[in-house]
Amino acid sequence: MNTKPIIMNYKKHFLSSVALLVFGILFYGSTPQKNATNVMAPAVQRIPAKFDFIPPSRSKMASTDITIAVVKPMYVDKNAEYFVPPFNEMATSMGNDFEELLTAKGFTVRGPFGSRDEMTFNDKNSSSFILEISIDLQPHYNREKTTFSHAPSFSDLLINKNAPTTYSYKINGEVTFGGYLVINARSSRYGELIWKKNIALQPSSFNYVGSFTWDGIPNMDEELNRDNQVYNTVSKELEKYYLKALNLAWQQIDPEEMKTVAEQGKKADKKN
Amino acid sequence: MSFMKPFFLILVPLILGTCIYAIARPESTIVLSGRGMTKAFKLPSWVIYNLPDGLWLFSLLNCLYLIWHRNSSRTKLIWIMSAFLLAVLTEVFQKYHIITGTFDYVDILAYCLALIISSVCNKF
Repeated sequence: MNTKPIIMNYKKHFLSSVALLVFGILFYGSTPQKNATNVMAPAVQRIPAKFDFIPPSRSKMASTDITIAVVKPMYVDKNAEYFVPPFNEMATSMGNDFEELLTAKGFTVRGPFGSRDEMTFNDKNSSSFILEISIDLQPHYNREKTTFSHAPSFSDLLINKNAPTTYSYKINGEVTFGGYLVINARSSRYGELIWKKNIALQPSSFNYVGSFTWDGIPNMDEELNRDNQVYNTVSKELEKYYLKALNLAWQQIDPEEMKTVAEQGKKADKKN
Repeated sequence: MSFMKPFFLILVPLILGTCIYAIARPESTIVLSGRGMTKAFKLPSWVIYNLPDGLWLFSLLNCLYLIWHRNSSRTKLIWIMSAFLLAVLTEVFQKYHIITGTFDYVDILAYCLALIISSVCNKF
């Protein structure tokens, strides 16, 4: 019996198996970082923050016979992120909602004014006192970066053989908001402080994950401006903070107490 | 069989696929790591991500045709189709996350083209 063809066949099967194994390793080794040609990461849409407070009840309009001049809420600190959305949007909305809150309590409202200096003599004369609102958010950011290194490309090396490795970063972190809503009442003519209320806000923390890849380490305001995912996360938490703050302010502002404040304001202005 | 046919049908696609991989893919791929050359060549993404796989399968199929060229069609067909189905199955496994990687239907298209072209080349 001629065994040569049988042996040849076994050799061929063996060679074919080896070829399959080698190519299999080649295929498998090529898989991890492949990007499918038609898959695109969906862009994160920015969801505009909605700061809106609806008073739980409404008294008869101007029922208290007190006119309050409201100065627009401002942040106590001058953090860079306070000047970008959603923080600046929150401050603007708070001024409008405070006007609505006070009107619902039965006060007549003037303003909101940018500052006490913006008020005319007539505005000051017509007001029982001035209400200034300060937002002392006391934010705490615990941010971490993930670093990606990029070796110089072949073309970079052709131009400069000492071309450096570049780095990019992704940021994630934990943010805590807390602090106080500070409400000051000042006499309308001379601005004497006649009443103060610090409304403590319970600290709340949340995590965020940035979707942007940065060339350098960004500040919080840069993240809020350019990374929609970060904006959406922070604005959602700020909306909750806003409602809690205004609900507490609603509870704390009592028309009867404000009548006393108005009388104190008149006395303070007379003294001066 | 002359040397030219195995050279052009097996070695050249294998080397070409590997070169495209080495030059154009991100450096973190397992096959070749080292100094990245990702930005050097502005190639379409199908050339970077799908052509190497198609070339490798083409090379493998031609290798199997070479091994089995004197044998019956049945044995040859079994090996050829096994190699092709193995390649397609890796894509299917990636789709269902059984193995690492990203499912891409263009890869399956590349495999089909590799099968057709290698079949045509080995008829002549």
